[in-house]
Formats: sequence, structure tokens, C-alpha cells
Amino acid sequence: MTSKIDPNARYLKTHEWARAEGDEVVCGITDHAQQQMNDLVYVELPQEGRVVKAGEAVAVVESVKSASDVYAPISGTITAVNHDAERSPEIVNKDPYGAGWLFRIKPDDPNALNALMDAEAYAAFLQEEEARH
Amino acid sequence: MSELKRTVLYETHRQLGARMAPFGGWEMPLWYASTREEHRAVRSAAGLFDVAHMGIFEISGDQAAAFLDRVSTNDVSRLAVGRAQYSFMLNDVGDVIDDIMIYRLEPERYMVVVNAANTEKDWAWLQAQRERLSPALTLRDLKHPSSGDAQRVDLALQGPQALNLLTRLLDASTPLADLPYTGVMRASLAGHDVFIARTGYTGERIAYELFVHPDHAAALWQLLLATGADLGVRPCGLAARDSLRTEAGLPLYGHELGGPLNLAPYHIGFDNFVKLDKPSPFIGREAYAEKAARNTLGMVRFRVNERGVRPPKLGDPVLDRRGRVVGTVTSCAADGEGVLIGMAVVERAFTSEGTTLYVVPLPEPMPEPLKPFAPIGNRALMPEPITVLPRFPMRPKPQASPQHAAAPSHRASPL
Repeated sequence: MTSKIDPNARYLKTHEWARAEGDEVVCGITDHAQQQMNDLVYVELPQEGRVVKAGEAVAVVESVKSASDVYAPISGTITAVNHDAERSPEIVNKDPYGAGWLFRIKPDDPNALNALMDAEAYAAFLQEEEARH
Repeated sequence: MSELKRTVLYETHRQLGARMAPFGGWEMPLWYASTREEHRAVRSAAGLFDVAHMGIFEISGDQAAAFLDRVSTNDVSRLAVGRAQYSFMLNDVGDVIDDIMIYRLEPERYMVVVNAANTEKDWAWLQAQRERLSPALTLRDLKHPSSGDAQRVDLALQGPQALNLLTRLLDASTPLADLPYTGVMRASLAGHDVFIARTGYTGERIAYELFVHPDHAAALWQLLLATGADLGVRPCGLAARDSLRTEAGLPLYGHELGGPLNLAPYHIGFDNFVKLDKPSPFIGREAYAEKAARNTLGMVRFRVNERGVRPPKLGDPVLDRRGRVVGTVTSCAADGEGVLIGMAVVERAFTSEGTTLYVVPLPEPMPEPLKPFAPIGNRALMPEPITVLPRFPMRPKPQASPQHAAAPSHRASPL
């Protein structure tokens, strides 16, 4: 099954996405990640104001069959979390790059996103991963 | 760990884009696109399941019925030709070895379908009992190629449109519509030689299992999906199978039977499949009866009251209003609407419908215990309220109108 990729976002190998919006960065899990998890029933989000390091586990998503940590794509401060995703985890399945966003980060380094994979690189990474299976 | 086995439909599942996962020693499809949609398809149309991992044995000869009566708890002497019965195999101390289906195909020929994960254990047990009790008996593994034309694998077609779909593929003289619940018949399904049994593991009444030669399984699978596409029939994975059987209140070996709690039929309200007084007593009878008499637990189905909570799983504690542990979760899944539904074994005083209990979904890793002045943002264990449902979903009274009979009716809870 093919998955969607947001051309304007940056990506981690652990299938998180991060997209600049003003001077903040919005983060979530990719369409590929939600497909692998299938129907989500639980989302646990970080405390607003928490200072996080890139690569740190900050959120949890669970389906009935599996649980997965969500990592912070960049270092910074959590400025907002999506309480709608906590109440209705299915919106992460339906719209992972939009209404199903998970948290916003005010980055320590405004250029931090540049270190992450762009959409093209992530698409290639997904293909590689697919080929390995 | 030994290599995972694959069913004859493995490549078919890959082509359909299934997410594969290990189950009972087999690499099986977990879902194709969405567990929830597959769950709903079974309740409103029909779903096709690869259950070719299930073990299939054949027991034949003039001692077959007497033998089966010794090794299983239900009354085989009352099983008519062309019918099936649900039963349990117990060991000498009355504990469950497996739950099984026994199909009487011919007067002296029975087919026994067992859980995939238990197949080798069951086979060894049955062989040992055969040698001890009736060496003249023929016991065959119908999954093994040595059974030749008799070799079989199991596909399940479950849901209200299943009869319509199968009727399209049968010639007009095959009376499938007359096949009663738990009935089994031999038929030619578009040229494929099959045993069609009206049995299943989804709680559906219009539900069939098709026992077909493995060489025909992929062609039959494709044919069923193509012929049933306009009826809404779709392939369903093990995740939907689990959510459907959980919603239906049916036990899964390792969760509601045996498993870490060593659960038995008397724990789960299935003791009517254990005939303590049948003419030929089963192995483990005295020990079973003794334990049953001492049992203080019962099984409940429940729904988690709120959405978006951490899903409970096997082993999570169930509490009463005062925080005392009164039971243990055995299974939990999301139904067709995404509501978490589960089963738990609890003290009998808490089994009435409508009782409010609390489940504590234990996270991994466990959080630090709460202390005075715990920092803002720390997390603690959270008991979630659950409501006890009727032990089985309410089924509508049989109606004259077929439209009514086909209406989905499995919303268990009035809440």
C-alpha cells in the first residue's frame, strides 16, 4: 500500500514528520507510520513547556496491537499539543499531516530542520525499507 | 525460535498489501487496509479469512466416537452425521489442553479442528491416547500432504452476505440455505470439492468455514472475493478476527482458556460444553468437577467507557470502586466504531450487566509511583471506568422477513 508524503515537511527514519510554521515547527507521525500501526486508540502527548532534545521520546501512540514511541525531530520547547488527537486518535489515521498533528516545538536552532530528510529523501528511504521486506 | 510457517495463501496476502505478523508459529495477515472496516464488513456484509493455520485432524474407524468421547468434554455420542460440536480436550488433572471443533462427516469419520499454536501438542496428546485406548483407530493429519486428496485447509466466510455469495457458486440443487447452524455438508463450489460447515469464530449466524484442498485454496479465495465484491465481501485479517470474537464473547486459547491464569470452561461460562454425566466419561473429569465446584470467578465482557484511553491488555488488573483488585483483563480490542471492548475474569459478585468496574492499563515502562508534591507533567497509573456488558451480545429474535434477519444487530450495549 502506498503512503502519502507531505512535500513541505522534513522526516526522521523513525517516521516522524516536522514542518516549519512561522517560527515554530509542527510535528506528527507519517502516513506510513499510521498505516503500520493501523487504527490508533490511544495518544499520549508531552507537557506543554517541556524542553526536549532531538531524538528524545516525547509521545506515545498505541493501537490495540502495538505501541510506539514518537521522537522529537528537533531540540526545543513544546509550545502546544493536539488535545483533539488525544480525544479522537482516529484523526491521526485519517489526516496524519493535518488535523492529526501531535505537538509544536519552538526550536533552539532555527535551522535545525535542514539536518533532516526532505520529502524526496524520505520517499527513497521508504522504498528501501519496502525492498528490504 | 523456529522459522515461521506460511499458509498456501501467503503470496495472495502480500499481493493484497496485507500487513503480516507472527501468530501461533505462523506468519499471518493482521489486516489488509483497516481492522475497523474489516470488522464492520463482517457485521454488515461478509469477510473472508485465511484460517489455513488451524490444525485439522481426521479420526475414523468403528472406535472413533468412543475415542472422541474419552478425549473431549462434549457428548460425541449425541453428535449426528453432518453436524459439528464445540468441545474441550482436558489433561489428567482437568486443565484445558485446547478448545476444538468436532465435525461428524460420515458415521465413522470425524474431523477435528484445533488451534494453530496447539496443533503439535494436541497431535502428540491424541496419538498417546490412541495408543493407550484404541490402537486400531485411524488418526490422520489432514494438513499433511500424505493425506492426498483428503488434504484440507480452512477458509472462513463470515457475515450476513455469506450465504448469498456461496449460493452464486453452487448449483441450484445444493441445499446450502437449509444447512442448520453447526451443520456440515460436502459440496462442489464452482468445481472445488469442499466441506462447507456453518461454523465460525465471529459470532455471526450466517457464517461458514470452507475446508478445501490446499491446491485449490488460492483459486477459491480469489473467486470468492471477485464474486462477492458487489456484496461488500472483503478479505479480513487476524486483528479483525480477534475484535469480532472478543465482541462476540468467544474465548481464545492462551487468553480466556489456559494461559497465565490457567482458565477453564467453568471460569468463562462455557461449562455447558462439558458433560460431566455423559455415558462415557472424559479424561480429567473428576479433577475438573472438583475445581469447578471451588471456582469463585466468572467471565465478563466489558466496554471501556471513554474513548482515547490506553488500551487494556491481557494481565491488566480490574478494580472495584474502592481500588481492590477483583479480576484480570484477558482480551481487549476495538469494535467497528472504535469503542474498546474486552473480556475479563472477575469475582462472581461483579459479573452483573451494568456493573461499573475499573481497569488499570499498565504502561511499559511503569511510571514512578506518585509522591507528595509530584511535579506537574508527571504521569501516574490511571484507572479507567468500564461497564460490564451482557455475557454475549443480544441477538434479534428470528424474523420472518429476510431483510430483518440480515440487519446488523451486534451492538451489544444500550449505552
